[in-house]
Amino acid sequence: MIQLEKLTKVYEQGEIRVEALKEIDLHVKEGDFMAIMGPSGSGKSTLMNVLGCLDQATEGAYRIDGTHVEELTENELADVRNQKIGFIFQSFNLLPKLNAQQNVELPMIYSGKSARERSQRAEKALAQVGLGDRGKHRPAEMSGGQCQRVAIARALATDPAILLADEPTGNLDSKSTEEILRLFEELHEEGRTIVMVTHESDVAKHCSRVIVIKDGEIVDDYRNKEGKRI
Amino acid sequence: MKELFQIALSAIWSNKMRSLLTMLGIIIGISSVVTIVSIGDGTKASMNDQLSNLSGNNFQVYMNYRLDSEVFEKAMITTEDIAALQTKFQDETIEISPESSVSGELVGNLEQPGATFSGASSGTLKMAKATIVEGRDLLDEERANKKNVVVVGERLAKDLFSGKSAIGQTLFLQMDDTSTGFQVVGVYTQKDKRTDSYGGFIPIETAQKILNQTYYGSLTIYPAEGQSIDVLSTRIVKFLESRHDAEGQDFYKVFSPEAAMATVNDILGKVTLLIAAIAGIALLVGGIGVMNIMLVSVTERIREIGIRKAIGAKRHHIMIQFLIESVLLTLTGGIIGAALGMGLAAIACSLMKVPRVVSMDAILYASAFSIAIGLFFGIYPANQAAKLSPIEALRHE
Ligand SMILES: Nc1ncnc2c1ncn2[C@@H]1O[C@H](COP(=O)(O)OP(=O)(O)O)[C@@H](O)[C@H]1O
Ligand SMILES: [Mg+2]
Repeated sequence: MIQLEKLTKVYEQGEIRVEALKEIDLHVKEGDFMAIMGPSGSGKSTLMNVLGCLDQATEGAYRIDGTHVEELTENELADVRNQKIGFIFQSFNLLPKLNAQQNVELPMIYSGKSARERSQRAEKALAQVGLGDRGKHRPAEMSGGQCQRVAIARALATDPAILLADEPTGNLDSKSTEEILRLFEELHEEGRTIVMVTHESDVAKHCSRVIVIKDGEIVDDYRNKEGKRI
Repeated sequence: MKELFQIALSAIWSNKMRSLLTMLGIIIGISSVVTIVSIGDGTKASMNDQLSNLSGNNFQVYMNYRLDSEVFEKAMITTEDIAALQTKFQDETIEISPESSVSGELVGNLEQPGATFSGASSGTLKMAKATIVEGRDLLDEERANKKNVVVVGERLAKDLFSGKSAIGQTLFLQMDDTSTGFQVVGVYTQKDKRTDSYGGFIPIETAQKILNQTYYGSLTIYPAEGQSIDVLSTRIVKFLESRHDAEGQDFYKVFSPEAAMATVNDILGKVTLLIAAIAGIALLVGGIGVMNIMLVSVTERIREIGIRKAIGAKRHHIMIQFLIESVLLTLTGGIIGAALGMGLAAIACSLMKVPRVVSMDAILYASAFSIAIGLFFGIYPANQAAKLSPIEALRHE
């Protein structure tokens, strides 16, 4: 599914040079539910942004679903973001002027789906995250947990190969966190491949596989035996 | 595409005041251009109308009055010249009539007694588009006998005879210190009523008798259908020069209303263009305003652009979204401006008493031009937005 080889990311700002990722090798298999853990500033977000094709690595190879990402043009990268990846942000990143339904339809506008197909799919995705009755609500009219579910529905709408979530519960209270994690579990059970960043080991316990990053390097990589429930 | 339209519309709508102020520049620019061009067209139409009323399809050949006096004698156009011309150019002309007129002051109780009686040959009234409303035209017999008879203009008849029938009355025209009486045989009306002085037609032979001259200073030639005025006038001048042994000596000149009209149109066109160009500067300023607001709009929405790109928007999607926004702004401004401009032009034209030319072209050009402005001034901001990398745009606060 995802294959990283000696992936390196260097941020250069004038004199300052930060090596955020150092020759990362990683293989994410289909159906994995992977947690990325590590202290703040260790490079988790950097890795997610590269995986999500939002940013590009400085060195190394990245393959997703057989595609060599470093060889893609700008437009092809947009297609990968649109069709292969569902990205979920800590801050939801919904468009405030659009309602839930319109937000979920957005990625399908860019893949040229018909209005009917868009609304059907969006309704289905909203129902799947348990917001079938909130389609007309704008982000400002919903709780954080509900907003994050809209964002998950948006990520699911194009039926991507992989879901990437960077601290999806970072802005949520414990009850909402619980609900969102349960949702990820359900999606995993359906067979979705999920990579999720978190720095709480409680959250990581929901996952089947955990990797730990420190200073841009993978320092631990293990499978959770006790399964998915706390 | 439809969706990109909706995005742009909602962006404009959610900033109504700002959008309106931005449009204002375009509205002012377009409306002033449309107003000026419409007034220019109206003035042109009214001038052309006057010129063509005055004369129709004809031209004058006249003696060059700057000739020395001994040559002048030699150049004079004689009755024989006219007869020869009439024979020679029989097929190319409808009418060749010599011009001769007497001017003086009418005797009577008039505020402005100045009057000019034109010498008329058989076809003159018809050619001058004068129609008899009372009485009759001049008779051949009156011409042959050089009778003092006159067909007067409607206004003269009304003013001089204060409402009573003019037919059969005698009027007196004071020239130098002699006063000549003319019997009124008819009253005519002319489509063009703008002439300032009183007018009338007397037999041309009578005019020549009164002026005590046997030559003519100028001829009016009415070309036959399909004849080129340029070619015909040159041939007639050549013919006259050869009859007077004066090849290439600049004895005769040509005046054609058509050429005059062309000159007037040319000058008016240039003036209109010049003023419109100045008004165009207002448009340019308006366009810069649009660009400025679009740049603000892009900056405000960097995060939105980042989100759109993160979920798969391509460069051209963002580009088109912002271009639609700027074009909608300018096109709306342009249409409002065109409507406003036509309203202003209507008022101005009625004040200036020139005909109002409603030109569909103006609206079309205004629309096309405002679209072009939207594209031109929108492309830079739109490109600024479109080229943002998704991660940079998302990091923007
Ligand atoms: N845009 C950037 N420019 C420069 N340095 C950056 C940038 N983004 C992140 N970094 C640096 O890269 C390192 C990893 O950051 P990040 O991936 O955000 O860590 P995490 O998400 O694990 O907290 C940090 O040292 C951070 O300061
Ligand atoms: Mg982070």
